[in-house]
Amino acid sequence: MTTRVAELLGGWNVLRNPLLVKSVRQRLRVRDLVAWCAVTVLVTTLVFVGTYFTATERNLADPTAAARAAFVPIMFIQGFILIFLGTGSVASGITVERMDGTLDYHRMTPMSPTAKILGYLFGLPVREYVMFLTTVPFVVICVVKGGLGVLRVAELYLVFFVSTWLYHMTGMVAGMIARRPRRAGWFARLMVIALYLLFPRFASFGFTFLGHLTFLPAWYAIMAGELQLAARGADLARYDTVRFFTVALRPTLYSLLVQGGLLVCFFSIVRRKWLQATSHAFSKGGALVFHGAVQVLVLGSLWPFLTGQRTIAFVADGVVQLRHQWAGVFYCFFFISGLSGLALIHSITPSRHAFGRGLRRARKLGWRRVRWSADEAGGLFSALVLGVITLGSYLALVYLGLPDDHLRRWNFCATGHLALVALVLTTHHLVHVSSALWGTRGLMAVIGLVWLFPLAVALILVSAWSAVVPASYVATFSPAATYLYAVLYLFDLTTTPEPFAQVTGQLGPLLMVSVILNVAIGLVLQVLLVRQRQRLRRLQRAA
Amino acid sequence: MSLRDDEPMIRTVDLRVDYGDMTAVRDVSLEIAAGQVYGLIGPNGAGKTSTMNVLATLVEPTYGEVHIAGIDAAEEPRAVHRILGYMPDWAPVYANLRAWEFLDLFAAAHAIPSHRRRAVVDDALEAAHLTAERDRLAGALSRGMKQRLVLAKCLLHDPQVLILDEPASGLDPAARVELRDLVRDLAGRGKTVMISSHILTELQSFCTAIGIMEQGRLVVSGAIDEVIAELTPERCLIVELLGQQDRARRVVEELDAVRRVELRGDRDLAVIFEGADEDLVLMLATMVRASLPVKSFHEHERNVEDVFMQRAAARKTSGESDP
Repeated sequence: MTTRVAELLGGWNVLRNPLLVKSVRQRLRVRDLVAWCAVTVLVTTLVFVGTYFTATERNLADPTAAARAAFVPIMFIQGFILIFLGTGSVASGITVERMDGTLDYHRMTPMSPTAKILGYLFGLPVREYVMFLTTVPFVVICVVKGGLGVLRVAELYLVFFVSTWLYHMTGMVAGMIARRPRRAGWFARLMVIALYLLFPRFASFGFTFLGHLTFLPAWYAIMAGELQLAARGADLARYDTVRFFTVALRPTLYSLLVQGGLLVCFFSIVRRKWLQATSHAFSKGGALVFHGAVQVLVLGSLWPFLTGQRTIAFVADGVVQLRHQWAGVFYCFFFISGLSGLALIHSITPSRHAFGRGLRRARKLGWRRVRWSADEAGGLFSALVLGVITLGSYLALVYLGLPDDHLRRWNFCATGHLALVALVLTTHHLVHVSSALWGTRGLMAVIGLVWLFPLAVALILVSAWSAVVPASYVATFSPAATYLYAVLYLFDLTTTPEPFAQVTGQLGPLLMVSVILNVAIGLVLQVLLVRQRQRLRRLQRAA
Repeated sequence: MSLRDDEPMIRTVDLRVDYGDMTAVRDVSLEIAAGQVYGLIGPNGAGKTSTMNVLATLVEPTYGEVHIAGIDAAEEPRAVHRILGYMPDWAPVYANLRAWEFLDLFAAAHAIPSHRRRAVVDDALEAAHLTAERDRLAGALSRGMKQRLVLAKCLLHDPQVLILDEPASGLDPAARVELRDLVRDLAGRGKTVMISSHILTELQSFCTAIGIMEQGRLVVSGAIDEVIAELTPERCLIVELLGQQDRARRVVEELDAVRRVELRGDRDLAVIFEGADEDLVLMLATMVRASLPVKSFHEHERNVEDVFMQRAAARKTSGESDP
């Protein structure tokens, strides 16, 4: 026990980490370093001098305001260096080592996985850290001349560095989990776009925590006063405090919690990959915990809006308008939860080969079946539990938070609720069986053919022939449409705008059709899966 | 790490490795005693590298046990890493690190104290005959030098067990001789070495035991002489004559121990027989009594390569006879 604790603590002694020393030797050779640092200093000097002296010499601002203004572009340069260049260095560095095989050398050293992860996390972007250091004097000048609060700036940099590590960890996760290392660069870019550009858009629908995946909310919250942004007309009210359930939190703390949580999640993924390269990114238990945590964040973010402690930016007067907006929020809820569930189910579902390996192992060792939490275990149970977690979160939102007059309750609309429960479970089941049968490509094919293709056909039917009702039935294959029907139905949107008004009377049948279709497709695929697994068992018995 | 006297240094039990539908290793059980130099041979795709990767804890087996020096590799992989050195067949290096920096990295990773590290690195460089290349970038080294640098890396932490996958591939003859001497030296220092190579005659010169893998199975394993005897029970005698080849053939064929006689050139015979040394004496006496002009008479020593080629021929025949 003592040894394990000592090893774990030893991993945190980053400065003596052999992998950091290796990166220092690789990436800080004097000639390269001088060139990179010279470019950084030159660019930062130009930006600082340009901003500061333009403002003061042209009497646009006094020296204090000019120094404060210069702080913004310098911080942008620092973000470019550490976040943009640094993430690239981590993703490409880990990918190159995986491809050429040097990463395997480190799998075989007795360093703890923690020490290895930290060594790479701080080592691969070591040149970017040095380049960042060359910009620090300019920050000091801005702080001193601009009279910026030192503690405020320190708080800002705390969030900045946590964000930076989160981006770097994203690069490392992409490098470690991409099946084909050559595609890791693209995978990293996609992850960065999704996590830090696409998801934060949902913050304006009440999913506040997604906005805090980036550095910006903390930046506005900390620097708004210092840079007098409000005086320039910026709407900064939403950055004052963050409400999580009924608790008011400082935006900085909230950002640190959200980003820290994701950092811990990424850390555990990379750790699993260090221990065994073929492990799934998430264990089955880990996936349930992660999905549960996402639901808590969703609930905590929406709660203040549901209970009227806060209003969403786009909120309008009147119950009918509010219903529309809440229907939109709930649709987003299903999108976010669905995306989380889909990614997790795909991650924890074993391929045909992995499942066969589990069967073989169980047979050899005389087990009745593989442990449910093992990577090789079927995963249907976990997939359905993920669905139940989503439903639990939905029910908590609806029954504990949403005012009575916004949604048709169970006693008025049992069919709608049952349809929604069935839709969530069948969607999760469909993702599970597709992944189990045909892996990533199969899942993509099912999404493309069963979910997106009918949606595209429906759009053509509407746009070319205004055939809204037939198009609505064609679209029942796709969860994008079926969840919309469910939300429209449950929120009783009798004043639904065109083109939905044409189908408001048919929402019930549409829901029934979509449930029947989803169940039918799921059953067919389940039969295929059962037959595939029976064939595997027969082959193994024969062998 | 103390190992019981009767406990093998490397032991696998029913080891199986699957990659998708392909089974790379099928229920391999293997024991290698401490201090042995064990050669693993087999055609491409036989499962040698997969077996070695499992021993090195790089690949998780479908099932089966691996014990290195009595340590369960699945339970305590890090304890195994402390006593094991592994050199993959394609030995990559960090191109932009100097040779000593490359070794220093792994010495530090193996927790060798900083005050000892320089000496350890220098010793490893010397053992790999790379002292002169100490300050060169690893990327600028020749293929053979890179191989030796990686081998030096494996020696840094003074491991009890070395697993070397095709260490001689891509090496020129002189480098191969150096490698052979190095492995001999390691064996002399009591290391247990598992080595795979395509250069079979060299394997025989320093291996104390071999295992032959085919299609994922360990066909045979044991001391070299025992394996050769098991797989080639027939002995081969070369008889050089000054003439009368046909008459000599008829005389020899009448002996009980002789299985067949092959003509070699115009004058010589290759006599395939199963018997003891006394049968050899009887054969020579018979030829002398028959006044055959025997110039020389010696037994052809079967080696690993003969065994391997014989197995390859048998595989080919069975493959051709398959419907």
